[in-house]
Amino acid sequence: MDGSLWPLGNGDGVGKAARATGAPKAMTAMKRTKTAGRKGMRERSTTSARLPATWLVGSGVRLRPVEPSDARPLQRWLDRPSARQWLSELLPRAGPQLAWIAQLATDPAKPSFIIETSLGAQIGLATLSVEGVQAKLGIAIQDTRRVGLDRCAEAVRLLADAAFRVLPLQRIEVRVLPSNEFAVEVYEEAGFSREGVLRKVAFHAGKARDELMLSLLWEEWMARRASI
Amino acid sequence: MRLRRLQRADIEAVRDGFASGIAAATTRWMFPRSLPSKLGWFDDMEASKEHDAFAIVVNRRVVGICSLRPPRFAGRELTIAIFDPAMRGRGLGTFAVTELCRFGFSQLRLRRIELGVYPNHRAAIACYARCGFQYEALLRRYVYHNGVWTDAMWMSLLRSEMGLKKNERAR
Ligand SMILES: CC(C)(COP(=O)(O)OP(=O)(O)OC[C@H]1O[C@@H](n2cnc3c(N)ncnc32)[C@H](O)[C@@H]1OP(=O)(O)O)[C@@H](O)C(=O)NCCC(=O)NCCS
Repeated sequence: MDGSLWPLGNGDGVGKAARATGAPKAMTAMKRTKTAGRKGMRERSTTSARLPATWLVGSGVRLRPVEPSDARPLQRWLDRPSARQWLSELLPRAGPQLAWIAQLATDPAKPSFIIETSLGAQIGLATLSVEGVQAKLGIAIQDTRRVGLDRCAEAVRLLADAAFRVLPLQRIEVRVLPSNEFAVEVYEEAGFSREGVLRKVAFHAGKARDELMLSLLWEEWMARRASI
Repeated sequence: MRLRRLQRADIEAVRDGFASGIAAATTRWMFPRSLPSKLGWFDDMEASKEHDAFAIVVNRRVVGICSLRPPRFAGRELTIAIFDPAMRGRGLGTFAVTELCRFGFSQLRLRRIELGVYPNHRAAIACYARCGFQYEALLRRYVYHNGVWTDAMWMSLLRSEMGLKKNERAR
């Protein structure tokens, strides 16, 4: 799914896992008032205490490791047509296989993270696929309109920053369908540069499609880090 | 305070300790890991004849971890991390390193225990020196840490240098 950002409607997604980890699900305004009466307050106060530990924390989002309990809700989410619209060839062709997703929790070559809001509501998935001194980055957001450009870009920045800190990488690349304008905007906002269009390199919806290649180099990351 | 064998039930606390990044600046930056992958690490450690890990326990709370793992050069490599910053600088590290080395030399019959430390990590160097570790070399650009290849100061303690009690000494 590298290089893909896709919009999904409200109420889709990883809510089950949210409840399993004690975090509130990404709530619509209506749902929030529903729970507020009986146990909403308690849920909220325990949430901040029980957020999974991670150092990938920004001002609006945090990235915590994918756990096996995330596999089923992630599969339900990724199998939706609205999600598949942007999926790249990296995802199993016949629909995201449960085993493939479960593997994200343990594969050292694929550090994978659930993107959460600062309060612990789950809003997406971010993965890295490491090959030697290169890595491919991919990010999926359930509801890009609500999450917004800034938080999407922050999630990308958090993962890219962590990757350069942890691993001796030369570059991190990302491939997107040129028509996925929002994703391109997010990656550029996060510091990635366009390199060009690779012709007919991906299969989407049964067709060979072009993909836009963007990348962030170690030097660029280092220079920006030094200037902060 | 005491040292005891690391147990499976400790792994969540250890995972959280590392995932929080609270010891990363002076150890390694690592991606936060899922529970099963950290449990896999524990199982590998248990199965290995060259890897022993201990929990540093204060008032029944696991506040840190230390281990003797396979060496870079010879003997075993010592690692230690006390997670809670409030627990550092109170002699806990000195205690744990001493106990661990005592275990290594007397129980495992090691001849050498080695370790790496960043040259600017004054507290750790003081702690290791106090336990008898000798400076060996500055290994240049030895560790990838926080985005750059960093130098590591290498230290070791030999069995002959550790004051073992008579009944702990190997013949
Ligand atoms: C390194 C670590 C294991 C040391 O354990 P500790 O319990 O803090 O250490 P101790 O209290 O036993 O000893 C610390 C020594 O450093 C000295 N010290 C503390 N802060 C210091 C500083 N900023 N500069 C110089 N010396 C310092 C103390 O005075 C003491 O020396 P002394 O006994 O000769 O007076 C512990 O701080 C730790 O786990 N830190 C985080 C993880 C880490 O860095 N691990 C080691 C990686 S190599």
